[in-house]
Amino acid sequence: MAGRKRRMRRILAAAVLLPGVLLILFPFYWMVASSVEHLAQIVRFPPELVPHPLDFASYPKGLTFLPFARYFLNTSEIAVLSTLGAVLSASVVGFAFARLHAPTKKFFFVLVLSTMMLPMAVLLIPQFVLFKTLGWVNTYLPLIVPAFFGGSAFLIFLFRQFFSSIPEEVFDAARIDGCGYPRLYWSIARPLAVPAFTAAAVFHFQFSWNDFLAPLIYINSNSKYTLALGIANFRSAYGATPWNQLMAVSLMMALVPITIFFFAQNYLLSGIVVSSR
Amino acid sequence: MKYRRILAGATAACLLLSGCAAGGANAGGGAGTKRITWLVRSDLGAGSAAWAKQTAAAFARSHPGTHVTIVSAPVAQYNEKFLTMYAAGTPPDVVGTYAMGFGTFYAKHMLADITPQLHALNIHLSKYFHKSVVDTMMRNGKIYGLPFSDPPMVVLYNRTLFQKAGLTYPPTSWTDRSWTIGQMLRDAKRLSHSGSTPAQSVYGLIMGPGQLGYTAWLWGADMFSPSGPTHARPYRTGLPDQPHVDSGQFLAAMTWLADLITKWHVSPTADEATALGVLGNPILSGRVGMEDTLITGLHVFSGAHPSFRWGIAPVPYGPGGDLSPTGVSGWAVAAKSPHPRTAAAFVAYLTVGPAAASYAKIGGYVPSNRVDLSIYLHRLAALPGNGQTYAQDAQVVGGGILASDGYIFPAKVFSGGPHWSSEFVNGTANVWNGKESPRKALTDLQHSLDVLLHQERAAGG
Amino acid sequence: MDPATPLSLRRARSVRPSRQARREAFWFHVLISPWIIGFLIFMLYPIVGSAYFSFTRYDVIHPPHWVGLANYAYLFTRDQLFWKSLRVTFTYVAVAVPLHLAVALALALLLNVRIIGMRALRTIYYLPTIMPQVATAMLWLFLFAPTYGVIDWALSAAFGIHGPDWLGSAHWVLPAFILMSLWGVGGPMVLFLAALQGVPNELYEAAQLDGASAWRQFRHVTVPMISPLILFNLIVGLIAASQIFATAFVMTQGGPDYASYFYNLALYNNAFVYFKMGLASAQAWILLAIVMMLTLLIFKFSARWVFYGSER
Repeated sequence: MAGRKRRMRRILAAAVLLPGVLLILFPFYWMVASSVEHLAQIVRFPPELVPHPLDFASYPKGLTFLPFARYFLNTSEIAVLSTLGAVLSASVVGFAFARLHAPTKKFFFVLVLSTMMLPMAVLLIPQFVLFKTLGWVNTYLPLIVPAFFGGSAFLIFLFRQFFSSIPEEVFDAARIDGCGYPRLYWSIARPLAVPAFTAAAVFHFQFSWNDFLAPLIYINSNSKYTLALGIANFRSAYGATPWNQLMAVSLMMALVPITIFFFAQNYLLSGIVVSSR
Repeated sequence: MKYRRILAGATAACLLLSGCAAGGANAGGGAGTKRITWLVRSDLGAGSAAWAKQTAAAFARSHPGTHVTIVSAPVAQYNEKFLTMYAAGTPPDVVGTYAMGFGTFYAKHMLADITPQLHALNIHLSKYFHKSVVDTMMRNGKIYGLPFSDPPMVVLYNRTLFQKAGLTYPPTSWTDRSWTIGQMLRDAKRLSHSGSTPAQSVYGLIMGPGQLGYTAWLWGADMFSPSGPTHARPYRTGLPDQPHVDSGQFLAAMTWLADLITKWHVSPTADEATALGVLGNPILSGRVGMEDTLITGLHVFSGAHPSFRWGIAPVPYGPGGDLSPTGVSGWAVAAKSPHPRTAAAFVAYLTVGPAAASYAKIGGYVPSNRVDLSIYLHRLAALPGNGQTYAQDAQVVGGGILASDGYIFPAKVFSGGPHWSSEFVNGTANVWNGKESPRKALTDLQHSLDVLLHQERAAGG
Repeated sequence: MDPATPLSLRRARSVRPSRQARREAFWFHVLISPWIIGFLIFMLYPIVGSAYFSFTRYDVIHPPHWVGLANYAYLFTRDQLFWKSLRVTFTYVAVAVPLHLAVALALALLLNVRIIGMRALRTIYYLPTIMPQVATAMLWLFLFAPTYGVIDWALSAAFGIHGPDWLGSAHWVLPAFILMSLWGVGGPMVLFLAALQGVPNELYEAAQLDGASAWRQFRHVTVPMISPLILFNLIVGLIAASQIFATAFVMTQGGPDYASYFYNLALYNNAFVYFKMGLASAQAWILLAIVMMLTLLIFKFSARWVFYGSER
């Protein structure tokens, strides 16, 4: 009976998910199609469903316009370092919020959340003044260093929720063994929260990879540009945007987070191996 | 213990980062070098970016002891970049007026008076510019920047469709008074036909109200002046004082434009036009007969392979004349610039010096500097699909610059231009899809503008 | 979850000496110290700065000029667009946030089934989240286009009808934004997927032995077990939706007739286009107050339906 039920669920899942795939993939198909068309073909209404003839020239053209390799390395440096910092620090802070007690905890937690609630637009100028005072303008420091100090409120909150759902007995046993709090975090909580670490890393990496506003404000030199900044320059005034190149480069840029997600799934879905018995 | 390894890792990362920072700080430059920063738009294509790079290097070569650093931002974020740099006390020395517009910069005292520097450089502006064009960047006899681009409004039309409909082409002379909005509408009706699918139908004309409704100038009306912009006080001071969108002529203009869509069906609705234009100029679809456009819009043809031939014509005469604005953009020196002399020299270099000619060569950008205008016109004549001769193009472009008489886009003249623009666009939005009558929309708009202007005055500018 | 947990915990706590509590509080502060330091260095000055600006007339170019509560008074009593933008934004929030939760959870449940090619399916459903928002906005501009857009084309092909002119209509522009926001549901979906892995199989087995229906299993096993993540997605969704900006900035600029003039768009215009940073700062703090109030309310009521392994 259980077997039949499971089969029913599979059929149901496939019946809902497969048509949805078409819905989601169509815009991507359109992007891919546009990247191998001439400009005149893209502009045509209604759009051609199968581009003919195929023209792959947008790829070399778009990639050299940027320069892609340079911006790719720049973006990678920022995204990797800030992800490292954000995940490390946010997990420690989130652990404290989930598992330790202190009279000030509520106050600090509300403060953490409130930093997410103030729109960026009004913080931009004082923040820029601050980083200028520190002499950090036109370096990657404003994009990386804050990540090492608690990462983002979003990740702290995320870790707090994950760590909170681990049953207390798991920690009790370790406490009896005389484990200190750093050990509790590192040896007990961390291995149990692999999905949380993976999700946090995937999210933060992707955020950093696509971030546009912060690099725009803090980076001046062209040679230090990120991919997101470079791609924004394809949008050309007076309707002269080379859409085919823009699509080609956007797809190349998205390839990295897509690959990361595809392989991160295993860890994301590895489950918290907790026996609550 | 493992815990220590994180600390070690974090320390290593910090060291790595500080290494990066030191590398950044050391870049370039000996002592005594006058370094200026130049804020450019980054979304004008590869040609423009390469030109900026070469220009910065060439200026430093021809002016020893100077160095130009390029900082760039796309137009949508140009203000954010400029304002953050300004607020931090390190404004870019040379800025363009393309994003925010001269009016707001001037009203906020953000620009330096460069009259003395230009005097010292011994530049005779009359040799390069029409007076009306220089005037757009002057206030009270002082020069706050020099124009580099001066694209007039024109009517872009599909010659192939005209031919098919058996119509004669519009004239190329701005003084030809037979080219009226009445004639334009008659042509549009002949050009329009609805096919069995939307993909086959042809729209005769796309013509909008323009920024702050400047199309009403053809009726002798204006958003902030009862008798059009000519000699109107707000256009001299840059400060609107009274809305006039409820005037009879303004209403007549907006009604004529709305009728194109809702009564004569020669135009797509506003959002259909937007849809047609998402990828580029709607005319590229081959299914638009005529369209009013800034001449820079023709740049789209450089990358396209149009299946038709096109031409350009003057803006037609309305009941109130044929005045239409140009999109003058210029280079200016920021008020807080620490090197105003070098910066002013660079502005001159960009607008009347070698860089002006090289800029015109990129194509698409009409130089204000009339010495270099022919360079642009040669580029224009060579664009794919252009069905006109060099002389015809020159007549339309040159005539357009004169006909605009130094009146530029109103949103760039007025302090707070983008605010008025947003009010106008939203206040009239329902007119262009037929959901509201022009009279009702304009009455409401008059009221809300009245309130806003009153509040602005109360706040002290 | 073991219902005895809170009890055992309380027992343990009462036995512990207060020295133990102080040691715990000490370690709490040590562990969150990276955040405290980061807050003091990187956040405090900008936050205090924006609070100060909210009491000034500040055009960014000239030094701020103290005006007391004038900005707040102006927004509440005279600004023609303040209430409008608030209404637009919170209508969007009220519909989009619950919708996101429901869709994300439903998708996560479906994607949690083991069938061939599920890895690829999950990646595909996550794909839209990966694309930069601005690129997505351009894409939707195409899809929503009246007559020529893909959506309209599909509607007329399938049902022989024409859709509304989505972005061009004051009535349809908000529904269009809500529809479009579903595109980004991959983030919460992935978190739900991860949380679902943490639900021990034994709980389902026990429920099945008791003869519980699929719905009862979902309601009494799945939901409580993943409730911390439901709470997380709810609050983060609320905060994000209240600050919707990039798509509207690219697609409609707030139009038509201010029907998509989201709060953050109004704020951005004041800050960077209209040179009214003081007013924008006041707007920011009002938004913070509203969202904070809603968040605290949600937290207060969450005690009833959110279950943690640790009880506090």
